[in-house]
Amino acid sequence: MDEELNRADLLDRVEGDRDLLKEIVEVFRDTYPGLLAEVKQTVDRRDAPALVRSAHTLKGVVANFGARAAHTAALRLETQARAGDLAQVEETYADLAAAVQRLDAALTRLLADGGGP
Amino acid sequence: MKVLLAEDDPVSRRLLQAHLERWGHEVTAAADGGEAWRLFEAGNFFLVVTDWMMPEIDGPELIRRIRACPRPGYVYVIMLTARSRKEDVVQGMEAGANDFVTKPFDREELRVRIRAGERIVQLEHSLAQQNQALREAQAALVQSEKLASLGRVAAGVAHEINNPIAYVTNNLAVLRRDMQATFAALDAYRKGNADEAARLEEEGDIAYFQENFPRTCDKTLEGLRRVRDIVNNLRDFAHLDEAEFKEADLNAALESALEILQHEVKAKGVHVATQFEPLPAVLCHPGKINQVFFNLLVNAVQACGAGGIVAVRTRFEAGKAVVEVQDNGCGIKPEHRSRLFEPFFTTKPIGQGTGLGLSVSYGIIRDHGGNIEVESEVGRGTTFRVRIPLSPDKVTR
Repeated sequence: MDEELNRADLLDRVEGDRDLLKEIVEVFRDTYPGLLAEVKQTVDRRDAPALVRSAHTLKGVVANFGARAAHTAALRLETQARAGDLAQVEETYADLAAAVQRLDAALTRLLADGGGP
Repeated sequence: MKVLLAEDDPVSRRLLQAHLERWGHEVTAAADGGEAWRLFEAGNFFLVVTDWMMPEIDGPELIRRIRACPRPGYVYVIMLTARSRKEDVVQGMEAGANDFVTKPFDREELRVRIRAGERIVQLEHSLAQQNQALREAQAALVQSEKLASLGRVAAGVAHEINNPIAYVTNNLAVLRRDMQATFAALDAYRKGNADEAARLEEEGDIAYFQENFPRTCDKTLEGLRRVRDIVNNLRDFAHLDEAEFKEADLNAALESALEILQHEVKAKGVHVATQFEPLPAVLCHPGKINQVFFNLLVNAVQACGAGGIVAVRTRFEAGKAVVEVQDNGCGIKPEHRSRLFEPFFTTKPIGQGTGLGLSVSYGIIRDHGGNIEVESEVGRGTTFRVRIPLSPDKVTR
């Protein structure tokens, strides 16, 4: 559970404000498809400097939700790109995309539960 | 407080804005460094929270621009960074950041860091206000010191002018009386009444009047010349019509200041001995230099008891004009010596001295590239030595 989303951490981050939570989830959903697409493009182009930036931005976004799996994948991608080691970026991207999808699903469950952690 | 927030990640931006607003701040949010810079230039922000990595203009560049902006008031900048490596902190600090908060941010940490920044901005603001008030008060006091010396000059001049005016007035009254008697005798002669004329001549003591007439005229003219000289001297002393630097004869300036102080010197029974060596012309602000000489001479005269001696010497030494004013008065106590040139320091009773004479003099001489030295011994007297370069440009600027 904590791998996708740290509920306690997230609820503390919004000070228990469900409206603010809903709002940032909406912002997240508006944002991440574009960011993932950008990461994918920079992976496909093997553009290491641009990949550092795009992975870094996505890492910052998912960090707000305490999404450990997504954060770890984004950090690994950023680190690989920074080191110029692009051999495994396709795999890492796949991990990242899957983790972000799981985060989205976990957020849906959290909003549906309407309760605490 | 108005806060400018620069963060390209929309989720973090929304969260940060929500919290900052909960803490009572008025938040303007920018999605990248370029937008933040445009908002900063157009707005009035003293607290900036900025992300590090942003497209177009990144955090360090945004801070460099803010620091280079010639705007009054201090801007406190907090950087948000996922990094915590030491060299990044150094780079951020060198760009001009005040503080760092790591991402994902801890709410309480951000709150107290923002509060610390707010306090610094407020302190800086009140300090700037106090500085402004102090500058205004000091300017007013320097002006009042100028008025105080002007008052003393005016008293001296009034006294000096009153004396000749009094006897010119008196001489004119005598002349009118004696001329009337003379005209009466003349009228009697014209009518052919020689006896009456002789009687009137006798009665008006016209022989005496005639004998003294040239002397009376001379003395009257001399009195008027004296008034004219005093007024000329005053004009030279005040240099009312000159704001610019010009070449001046410091010996003449000292003579002029002594002339204006004459009645105070006489009233106190002080003897003034001058020993002037030839000096080259000095490029200076003559009105201000006169103010300095006047201050030093007044101090010397005041330090003396009745029958005291004030020696005023000039010489040219090592490319500078040297002016010494020495008195054999009470001297300066050792504990007062270090405070002599301090503004508002005075040993006179409250209301009698502004405590600005020497401090203003010191500033004037410093502006001319010169300096003032003091030697003093309690009970034996004090010497002030002023050294002024022939041109301030050769020393400063």
